[in-house]
This record gives sequence, C-alpha cells and structure tokens, in this order.
Amino acid sequence: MAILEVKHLAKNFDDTVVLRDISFSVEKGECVTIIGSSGSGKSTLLRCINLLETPTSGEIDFNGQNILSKGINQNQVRSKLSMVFQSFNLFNNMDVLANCMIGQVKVLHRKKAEAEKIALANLEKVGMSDRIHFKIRDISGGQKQRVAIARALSMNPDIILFDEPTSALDPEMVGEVLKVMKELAEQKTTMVVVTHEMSFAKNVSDEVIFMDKGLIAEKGTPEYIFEQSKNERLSAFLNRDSRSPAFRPQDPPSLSSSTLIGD
Amino acid sequence: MNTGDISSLLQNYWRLYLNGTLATIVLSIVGTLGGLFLGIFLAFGKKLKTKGEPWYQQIWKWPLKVLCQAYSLVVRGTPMMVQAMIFKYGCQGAGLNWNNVLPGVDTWNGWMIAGLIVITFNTAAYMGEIIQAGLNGVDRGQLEGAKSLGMSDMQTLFHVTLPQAIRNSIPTIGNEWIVNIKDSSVLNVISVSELYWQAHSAASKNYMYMATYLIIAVIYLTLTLITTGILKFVEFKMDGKKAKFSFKNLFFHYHAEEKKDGKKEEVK
Repeated sequence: MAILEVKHLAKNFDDTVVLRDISFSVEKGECVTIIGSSGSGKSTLLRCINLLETPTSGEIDFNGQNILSKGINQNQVRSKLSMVFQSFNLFNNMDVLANCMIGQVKVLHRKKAEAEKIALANLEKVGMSDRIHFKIRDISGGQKQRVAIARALSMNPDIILFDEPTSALDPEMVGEVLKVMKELAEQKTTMVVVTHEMSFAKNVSDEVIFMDKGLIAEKGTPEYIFEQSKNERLSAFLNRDSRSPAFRPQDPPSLSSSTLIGD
Repeated sequence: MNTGDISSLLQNYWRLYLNGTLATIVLSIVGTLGGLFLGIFLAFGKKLKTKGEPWYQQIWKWPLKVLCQAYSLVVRGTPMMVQAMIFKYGCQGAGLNWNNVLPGVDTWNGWMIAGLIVITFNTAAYMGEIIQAGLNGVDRGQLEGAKSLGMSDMQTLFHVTLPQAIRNSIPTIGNEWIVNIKDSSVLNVISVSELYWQAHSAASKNYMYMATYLIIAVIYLTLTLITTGILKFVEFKMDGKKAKFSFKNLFFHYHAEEKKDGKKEEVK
C-alpha cells in the first residue's frame, strides 16, 4: 500500500494558480524525484505535503489518513514527514548536535540520553560525527546540508522530503550531499526529492515525475523519462538542461597568479 | 575650586557618593532586565494578528494590540522626568504616598521602589521596539525548519526565535543599559536617592557645586566605560571569538584579527 498518496491537489496563491491537478503516490522504500523548470510548482508541491502551505483543494493521504482533514494534529504529521530545505534552515543558536536533538526531545519526547545516541548515530551516517560541537555558521554549506539530513533522519520519519538540497551549494560540495542521499536511497529510505541534478534522478531514483506549469506532464521510471518518452515539453526541458553548465560541470577557468601578474 | 575641594568632598561625603553609585547601578540593572522582560510581552502584544481571526479572538486581541501600540508611542514620546512626576502625583491621587512606604530608611526607601517602577516601565517601551526588530530579523527559514520537525509555535518561539532575537539585539539592549545609567539621574525629581540626588545634597551642604558635579561626572563615566567593557566581552564570547583583553578591544569596535595571507583566523 502506498505510504503517501496525493489526489487531485491544487494550490492557488490569490489569483496565481501554482498547482492544478496533481496526483501521484509513493510506495514504502521508494525514491521519487520531481524535476521541472523553475516556477513549475515543484517546491510548492513539497511544501504542501509537509503542510507548510495549505492546499486549495485535493487530498493528501499519509499512512491511509487524509492529513488535510480537520482535527488532524499537524505537528504530529510533520514530525513523520521530515523535510530538508534548499537553504538548510538549521537553527543558528544551537550547535550541530543540539540541532539533531531538539526535535526528538521536544516533539517525540525522547529522553536526552536516548536522543543524543540517535543523533550521534545519524551524524555518523552522514559523516559529521567529528564536528558535533561546531556552531552552524562555522561549517561549510555541504556540511550544513548533511547535518540537516541527519536532523531529518533523527526524527525517524516515514518519508524524507528534499527540496532542492543541492541548489544552494558550491559545485564541489554537491557531490558529498548527493553521496549521502544515494546511500539513503540504497538503504530503502522513502524519499521524495525535488532536484535539478539530472544524474541523481537518472541513476538513483525509482520513479521520476516531470512537472510543468503546475501539472504532472510525465512520470515513469528513469529509463522511460530520460530515453523513451516522447513528451515535447520534457524533451525541451532535458535538452535545455543538458546545455546548461549545471548538467555538465566544467572546471572553472583557472586563475593562476602567474597569468594575473604576467611574468 | 581647587584639588583640595575635591579631596575634602570625597573625604567627608564618600558615603553619599557610594550609596548613590550603588543606587544608580541597581536602578539601571533592574530597569534594563525588568524592561527587557516586559518588552518581550510588549513586542508580542504589538505584533498580535487580528486580521482573519474569528471574532472571539479579535474581541480581546484587537484592544490589547491597540493598547500596546499606544503605550509604546506615549512612553517613548514623553520624557522620563515627566513620567516620573505623573507617576508620583498619580499615586498620590490614588491615595498612595511613597513617603509612607518604608519610612525612615535611607536610600532604599519607598521612593527607590517608585523609581524602579518608573525606569522599568519606561525601558519596557524601548525594549518592545528592540525585541520586535530582533524578531523581524530572524530568518523565516528558521521558523520553517522548526515547523518541519513538528515543533509547536510556543516551542519554536522559546527554543529558536526568541533566543536568536535576543542574541541579535544584545548590542542595542546593552546600549539601553548605558542610557539607563545616565538617565536614572532624572529620577531625582521624585527624590530617588541615586547618584545625582546624593551629590546634589552633598553640594548644597557646603556650596562646592563645581567640584561635586565633576566628581559625579567621573563616576558616571567610569560606570558607563565599565559597562561598555562588559558588553563587548559578552559579544566576543557569544561570537565565539577569543576575547583578548586590551584597551582597544574593550572600548572600540572589534575587528577579527587578520592573518598575513589575508584570511581571517579560523575559529576553533
């Protein structure tokens, strides 16, 4: 049975229609990626699933329960639907370890010792166990995102939602975050990933959803999306993307000191 | 006036100066911390959401919001000296004479309590503005991060937003403390025995006005410089920088030490 089922979801911001009629489902242990150009509603869709935005109409069934119906404890739902953000959103007033513990202690009511054990295990998983007492501003972007993943994992969620986790990172840090995400997918963590990393969508995910103008324009296995689909908009998107430097990273032109000084 | 005046004044009236200095310190610290505490509530009162709320929420939220905003405007728009007088005669009109509270006690008498109340409620208005600005300065992403973990609004406030808002406002809050050290002198109009009032009574005993006011000017300056130093020290510590004790670091703006290759020193 599907762990998450989105049915006919629509979202308007005043007069602007962002999501029209979105339906898809996620099975347990599945890694679903959502691709599409900017403004196609990918992030809004993810934020609707995590109830950060209230959808205008439609239904989101999570563990067989419609989380949009009245009388649902939203905070309890959110604690089972962890989210990793583009801009990390780690708490600046805490160190790395405290960031991974606060949700467990305050929301799941775990004992401090237990929470610390779980946080340490997850920080180990993402390779950050040597920096547990660092302040958030003292670690790099890639490290921040790995801590954010550890924070999400510490809540033992049923699904982790990734909202463009690598878009705010320097190119050399993208790899370390993608590696962690790939490991998670291999361990059969249920994930929904909004991404511009086509290689991740192609090689890691079980299902790819292509969104365009608030609609799901195409969905299927990575092979189908990247090789067989005849969808015009999809091929236009993929071709444009393959020309962009993000798709084929090139080394930046090297600025050696000798060329600058000219000796 | 000569140096003999100053030394004889210090010899004869050192007890008055000491008492006055202590009273000023207590007034400024209690006023700042109490004002900060009340200011937090004031900031929330001013930010209360009234649009789109059901009527049973609006019925108490709207008047409270207006009241908080009016309080902030009026208190920031009138001098503390006038507020102190209004408080004094207001209390008298209501049948409370601060003269009769703790009668016969020197310095720490009823008027001291009145002074503490006036300075606290005066500072609260400024603190409300400061905390509000601090809350506005906290990144929206922090709220979303807390929400995504399932934290409630109150948990988010106490563990994420408010600590950061206060942290960001520390320099301004400290400034308010320094202002309070100096401005507590106007409370002499309701006979609070702080430094200025004590000095004034010392001066009128032997007519050495210039020497007396020079002495308390030096005392005020010493107090504010010590306060500045303490605040700088707190800021260093909160930024995780190693605080070096030097004159320059304590009294002027701190710059992170730069290494020879131009990179900033890595924080350990």
